[in-house]
Amino acid sequence: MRYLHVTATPSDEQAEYVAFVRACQYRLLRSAYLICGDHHQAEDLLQDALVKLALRWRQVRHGEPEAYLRTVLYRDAVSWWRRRRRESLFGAVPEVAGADGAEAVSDRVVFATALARLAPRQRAVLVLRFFDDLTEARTAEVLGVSVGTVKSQTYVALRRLRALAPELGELVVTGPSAGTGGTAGTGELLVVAPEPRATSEDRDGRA
Amino acid sequence: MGGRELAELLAQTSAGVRAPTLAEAAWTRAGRVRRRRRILTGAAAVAAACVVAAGVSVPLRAGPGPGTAPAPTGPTAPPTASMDPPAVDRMPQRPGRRAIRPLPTTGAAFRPAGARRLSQRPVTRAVAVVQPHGAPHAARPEPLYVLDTDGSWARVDVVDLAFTRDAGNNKAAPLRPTSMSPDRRLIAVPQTDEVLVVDVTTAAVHRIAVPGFNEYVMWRSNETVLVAQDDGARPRATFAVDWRARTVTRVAAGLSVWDTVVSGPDGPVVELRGAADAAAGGKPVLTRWRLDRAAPVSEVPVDDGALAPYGVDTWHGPALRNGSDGGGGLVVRAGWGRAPAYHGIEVVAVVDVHTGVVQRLLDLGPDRQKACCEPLDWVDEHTVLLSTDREGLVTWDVRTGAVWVVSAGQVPGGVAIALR
Repeated sequence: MRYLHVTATPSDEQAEYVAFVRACQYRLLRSAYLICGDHHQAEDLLQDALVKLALRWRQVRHGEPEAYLRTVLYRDAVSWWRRRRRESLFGAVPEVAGADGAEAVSDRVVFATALARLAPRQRAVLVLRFFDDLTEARTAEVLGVSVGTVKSQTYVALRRLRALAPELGELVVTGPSAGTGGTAGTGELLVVAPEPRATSEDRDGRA
Repeated sequence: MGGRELAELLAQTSAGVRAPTLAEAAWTRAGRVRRRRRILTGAAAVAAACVVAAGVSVPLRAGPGPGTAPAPTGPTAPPTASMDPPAVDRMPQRPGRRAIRPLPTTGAAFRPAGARRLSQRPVTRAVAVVQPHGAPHAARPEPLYVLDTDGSWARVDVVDLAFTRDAGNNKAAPLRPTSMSPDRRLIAVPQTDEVLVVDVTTAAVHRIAVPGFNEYVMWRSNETVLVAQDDGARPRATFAVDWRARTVTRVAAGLSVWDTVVSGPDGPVVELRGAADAAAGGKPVLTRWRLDRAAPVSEVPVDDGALAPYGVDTWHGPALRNGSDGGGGLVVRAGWGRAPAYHGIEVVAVVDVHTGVVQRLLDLGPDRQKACCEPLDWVDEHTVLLSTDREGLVTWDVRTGAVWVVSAGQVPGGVAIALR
């Protein structure tokens, strides 16, 4: 039997790469923006991740390039924030409209302000779980942490969001019989088990 | 509110982001990186060939010819610890056990129960200081515990500590891996607007006012501790604090104490920084400083080429040197690097402080916690004590690659160790 070896030319590889990136770049840029809260920084992070992907395209193109790209992007985003530890505090949370309804503040603005005040990894966990719709296990893989850390970070993040923006309603309902974290994208009530064992980062409130 | 509502809020929040067009630019930039790497590799090969040629030709020369300038007699590079060619080790699945007295044999024992009060009976010399993790959202951090040379523990009851904070209001427990003085008598602890120095042999506390968000400490000598602040400014402010004279001096050098290792009161100050732009082929850099000069003395790129496809991109945790310039010349630090099968692994690397060459790299394997592991001390000139998330405290011989478990299981808190 004769085997026909088909080798991709550089132009094939480039075309493949460009098609792949075009298909996923918008979604990933939005994810990066949700983590870092800055348009320019989000583009820089994605650009760096795309360069790394291009450098390893030959190795990952037949595997899971999106998983590779997402891993690089999220870890770089969290590392970038950790290195600088420059949590942007966006001033005071906007006040909720009074009883007279004189000044309405949209849920989106309140949410964005509260989200910006979470630690970077907490934001990353929320974005991966509820925007990218990943499971806890996949979220743990992307961030290079344990599933337990994902659970605890999700719990802490949701509780902090609730504290920062109580007007958004109950993000977390604690229940003695609950055993898992929230179910992304299903519309089910987010139920978090009694507080899981916290990591040192949880305790420090820093990712 | 359910998961769907949260997903919708996230979608709305990012709805203002415009669709990018990054694909072609990223591919082009990657091409430039590839070309630059090829050029650097070629240049390194040419340089190596020149060195070899020079080495061969020197014995053939009978002596300096007429008019030849005498060889410079300035200071020569100090000897580096004898090392084998660069190599990579992998963390074994089940490392063997070895004991280092008086360190506990389990990580859990670093949370001592029934420790005496330091004010009741101080210690002879500290071997380890630990600050257990506290309850979530506790108002104050747990106290410090000191391990004496006889294996007994003392709780530091002479001072109430607060969390450190930075300009972004991030808080952290204040014990640092570099908190112990070289003579193992003193513990320095950063606090907002002051630095505390606890003499564990007398239970005395010295408070030195250093206004600002003090975040990191590192001993330069038994009298001077470098204090770094994180107030959002770049470069970060660094102060040299003489706790005995109670003087505070702003350091001119534009270094980051987080990335720095010092070697005695008169030794050089070396900074091991991560790549400024790893994606574009940037390399970590090893920089020498003098504390009284704003500009660096010298700078060399960290060279991990001999380990390819392994490599190091960024660093975290303390950098520790195995001696002064007159002795060992190795710096060990944990980092984030590359491996053949995948990009992004936790590693520990040993770098030659004179050449920047990565002499040895420990691949800790996949599925680790981010920043899982860090060096704590040099047991001797060629053996590092590491803290890891799975194994606990381990030693790694950077000549043979052997790894041994000293204290099994993760230490439940921050820890500083000085064995020598």
